[in-house]
Amino acid sequence: MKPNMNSILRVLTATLLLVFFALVSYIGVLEQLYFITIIALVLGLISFWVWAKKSALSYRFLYPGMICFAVFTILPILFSVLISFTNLGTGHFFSKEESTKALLQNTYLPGNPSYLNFELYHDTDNGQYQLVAPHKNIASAPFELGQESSIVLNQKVEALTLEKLSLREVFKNAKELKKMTFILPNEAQLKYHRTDMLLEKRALYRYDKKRDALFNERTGQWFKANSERGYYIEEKSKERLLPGYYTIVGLKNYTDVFTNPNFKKTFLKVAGWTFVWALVGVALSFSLGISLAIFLNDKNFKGKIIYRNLLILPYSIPFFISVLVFKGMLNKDFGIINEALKFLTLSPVPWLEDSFWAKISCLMVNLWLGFPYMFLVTTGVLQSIPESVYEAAKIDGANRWQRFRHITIPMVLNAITPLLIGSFAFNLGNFVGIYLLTGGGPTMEGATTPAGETDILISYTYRLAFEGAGGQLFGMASSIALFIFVIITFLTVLNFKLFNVNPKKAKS
Amino acid sequence: MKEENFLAHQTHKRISMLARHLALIAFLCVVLFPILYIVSISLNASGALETKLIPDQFSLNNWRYLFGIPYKDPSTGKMITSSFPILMWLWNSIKVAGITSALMLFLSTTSAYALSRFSFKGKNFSILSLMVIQMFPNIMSMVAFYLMLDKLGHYIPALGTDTHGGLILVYLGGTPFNIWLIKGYFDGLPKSIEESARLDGCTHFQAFYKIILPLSAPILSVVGLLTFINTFSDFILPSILLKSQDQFTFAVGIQIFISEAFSGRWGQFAASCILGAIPISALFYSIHQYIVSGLAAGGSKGS
Repeated sequence: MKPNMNSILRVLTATLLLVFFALVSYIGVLEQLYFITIIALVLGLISFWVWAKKSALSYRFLYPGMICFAVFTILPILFSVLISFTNLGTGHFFSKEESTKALLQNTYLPGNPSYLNFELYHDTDNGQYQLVAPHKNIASAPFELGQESSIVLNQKVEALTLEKLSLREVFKNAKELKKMTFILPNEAQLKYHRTDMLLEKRALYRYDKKRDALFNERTGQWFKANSERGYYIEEKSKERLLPGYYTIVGLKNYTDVFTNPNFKKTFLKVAGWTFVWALVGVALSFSLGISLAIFLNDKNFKGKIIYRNLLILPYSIPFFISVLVFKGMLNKDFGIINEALKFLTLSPVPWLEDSFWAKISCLMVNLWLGFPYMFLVTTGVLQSIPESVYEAAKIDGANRWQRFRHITIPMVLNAITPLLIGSFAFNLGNFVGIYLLTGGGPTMEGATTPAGETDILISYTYRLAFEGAGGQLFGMASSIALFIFVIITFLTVLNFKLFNVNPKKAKS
Repeated sequence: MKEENFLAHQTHKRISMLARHLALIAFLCVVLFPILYIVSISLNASGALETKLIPDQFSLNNWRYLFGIPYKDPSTGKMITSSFPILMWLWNSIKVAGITSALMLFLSTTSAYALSRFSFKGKNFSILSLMVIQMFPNIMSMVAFYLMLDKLGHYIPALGTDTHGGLILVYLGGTPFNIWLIKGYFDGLPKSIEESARLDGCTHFQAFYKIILPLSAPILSVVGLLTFINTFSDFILPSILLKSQDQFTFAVGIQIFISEAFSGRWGQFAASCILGAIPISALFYSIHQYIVSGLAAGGSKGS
């Protein structure tokens, strides 16, 4: 059979995808993120198979969406799980190798340090430099700047034809010079100290591979690597060396939530408010939404299209805009709501500053944002209930209330409950509704982590990871985020069970 | 007697109707108050936070500020030009949301087609995992996104943190929800359409893009617009990933703009909000009937 254009393109795509994923897995090796290597290799092989095998047509159709799904949804979730088992965060951003390397660069001054006054000469022809100590009559061989190297000062000073650098010019090269070590004939190791002086500085630490520890040359202490805490630690004084490194801490981030009393209290408070917020939020929006929908669901009512369109106006505006506007309106000192209260000779209310009022404000603003959605969907359901059902009930003698109680309510709830559960799940992650209004505040008293009275789990996660005064706690933040994952998975499965969704027949 | 009764009934009906209208109008006044208020603030010369509902003095200075036109400050007499690239933030948002929607459509349509039409191993599993995972807000993995882009930026600077490329990449993880919506629509199209096309000699792919795609224009535009609206309205991911002022999206830029000085920039903020809200609001009204019909229900903005 002659290969046609299509098969050539197909095989070409297969090869390109394979090469791409091979590169990604190589990056995984370079970054020492081996799980990326493994996943990239698996994805690469799958991609190759899907595009190279002619009969795999259905998988080729499936491919683009699913690969995005895998790379940008599944992979980050797995990565989050991985991070939640580590102590990654401020003080622990480096790998152990990087941290050790940084510590080994520390130096100290010995008791009676050698020093050397120097001048620096520049060869403009080949760009090389020469370091000269005229008083001691020694000099270095010509060298290049910018490398971490050791230069031995073993040359005699001869008549120099090179250009001598001024102190200001030396200062400009200080950063490069600091990387270098200059060795005197008596083997003392000198480092750049100031623009005209080298000073003997010794490496503070020596790494001992057998003990997996750093030896402090000056004090004679051993700092042992502690793989649970991610620091080099001296056993007696418990002194630790900074920077630390990231390390697997196992379930510590999770057990902390329930055992560390301070953290436990904060977490339970935040989790409790998260549920209240989501539940009350949905209940309020739903009650208002369905009341309005029933109120307007009357075919004799004139102008209901106009009313409907005006009622959903709040929902059409991006949430972040509305929430910020409310933040201004609820301002304690200048906000228009307190101005109005003052006008009515009432005392102003600390809408965002007091923990009780801040919670009320969050719920009210969220009601404003959310009721139009409930109004929209219940209107849709009400319109779909056929008039004949009511007629039949009327004939059977059901009064108005009975018709409402036994026809409208069950039919609406039946259609809306999955959406209510969906809304509940949405509210659990409704970051904008909380964070842009109160910033999570007012600050929770006695909390050791950045937490406020109106913080919900997702805003707490954000503040742990990106805002904390005590630094960024990525590991802990990820473990909190995983609690939300678990809750939402549970809700979704519940949704399926309750409504018996069968994927074979499922329609949106 | 009968006549009288009927008349009384009619008047009663009229009064109750009138009461209903009045109640609704009162309710609307409360609900729409923030919107009217912010429009009034944007046109007020003073522009301070405590400004009354009806401006004492009309002025377009806030709008001049927004569009970068210099104007004379009424209290100090100094010429003022905006030093914040608010319009650029708006453009950034439109750019990111536009590219995201286009890519998203391109990436999710064929998958939706496969799930709707083909039968293959692992189909039920794919559908089930899509259904569960489309429920997760992507911000749960915010730490992972941040670290992944940080690493990626070392190799491909255009896709690192503080780039629009990186941000768009993260949004592309949202395909499941769109696949889900489009699949639902494909399921409603009769199979016989493509079968006849296949009989006429079309390949499967030709049948897909010559017959099915044009028929699906309505759902594709709804999905595209929903993606646009949701991307434009997102706050948390750009606030984590974007660092420099030039790269900010509207959401992040405007939040920082107003948080720095709530009382001093209230008027300019009001004008910016209106400008940012109008396009999104208009898009929303163009597709809201799909939300009523349940097509896009459940996941879009929720609440």
